Amino acid sequence: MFILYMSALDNDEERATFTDIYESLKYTCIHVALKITKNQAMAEDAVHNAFVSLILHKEKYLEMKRCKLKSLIVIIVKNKAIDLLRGEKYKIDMPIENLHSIEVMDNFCISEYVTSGESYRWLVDCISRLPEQYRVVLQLRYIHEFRNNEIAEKLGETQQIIAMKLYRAKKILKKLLLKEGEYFG
Amino acid sequence: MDNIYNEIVLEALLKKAVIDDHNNELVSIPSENELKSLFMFSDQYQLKMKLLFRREKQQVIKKIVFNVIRRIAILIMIVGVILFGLLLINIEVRATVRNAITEWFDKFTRYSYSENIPAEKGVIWTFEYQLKSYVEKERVDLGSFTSITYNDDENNEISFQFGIASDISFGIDNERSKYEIRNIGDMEYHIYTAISSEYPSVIIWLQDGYAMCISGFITIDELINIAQTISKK
Repeated sequence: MFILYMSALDNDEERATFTDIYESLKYTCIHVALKITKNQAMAEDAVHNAFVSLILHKEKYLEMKRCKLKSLIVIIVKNKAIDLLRGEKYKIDMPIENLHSIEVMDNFCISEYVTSGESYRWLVDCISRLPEQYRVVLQLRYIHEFRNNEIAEKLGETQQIIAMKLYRAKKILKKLLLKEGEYFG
Repeated sequence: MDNIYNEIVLEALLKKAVIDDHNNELVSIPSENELKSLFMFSDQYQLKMKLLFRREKQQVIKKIVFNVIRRIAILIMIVGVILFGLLLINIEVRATVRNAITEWFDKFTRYSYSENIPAEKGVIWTFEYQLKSYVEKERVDLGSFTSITYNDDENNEISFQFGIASDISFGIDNERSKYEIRNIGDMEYHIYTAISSEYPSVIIWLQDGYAMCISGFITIDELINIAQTISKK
């Protein structure tokens, strides 16, 4: 009887926490998804898909700190929204074709460029203007410190694609910095 | 060296910038209460989420039940082993267990009959079936048990053994044979068909209070034919 009680108690706590997480974040999730999809039904699907994938690995996620878990859930919801839009063949990114005309010099170095607080703020702003699919990969890499294979597993892509996205994200960042930055080659 | 240094600095800068950007993003999201007044979920979505959490709950319950059953089974096993171990301390229990194991093993490897089977003493049995190229080679008569061996030109052997059932028992190698029972007429024949030509097939049965056994490197049909022609000499 005691064993039965203890088993039930442990999992009741687990179950309550996971439902709590959803209840405490559902509006945040739908807001984030709607910003990307611009469509309520698609946003709801994105949130649903995000929680389906969260439940699959819930043991891992329940061990995380609440603030970090919130950040990860937001990222996963954004990714699911992007996936749905990709399926609908929507262009969600900012028009980066404008940037193609700008040559990135081989020796252009972001770290040398960011020499002041202002230029650092501009770097942060450029990151916020990155296409969401690249932003998500950067966030998973630098905030949650996942390796390429872990990011690939979470986003349902191959390691090669993740590596390519990281490379492209940095390249686009350089172009964004050059477009309205101080440094011209 | 400069490139490596730049790379390190870039990674550190990027990390901080990505974190700051993400924090700005999270801070810019209105609170749940504010969003509550702006959004309404569709009925379909609410149903989908309800079903999702219900399925998850069912999986959790299955997991709980499985864990509980597993723990109980392990507990029962441990208690059983401890109790059995304690019982085996007793000499009489040890002897009973040993006898039970021996009897079980003998059940599949030894034929013994009860003492209540009536039998006429001193009967000599023979068979009328003609064994091609086999001749009697040896006969051992121990009163209650008789063993007759037949050989052919290639030294293949057929053995015919009989004795009063209550006085003898036959041992069988049941690992290298396929076992079956055939009822032919009034007789119940226990047949052990060898799985390889390296081992003999065996037939055992009870006839008129005598236990009989024929074994040899011949077919089962031939063994049965021999058995059916057994009669008192």
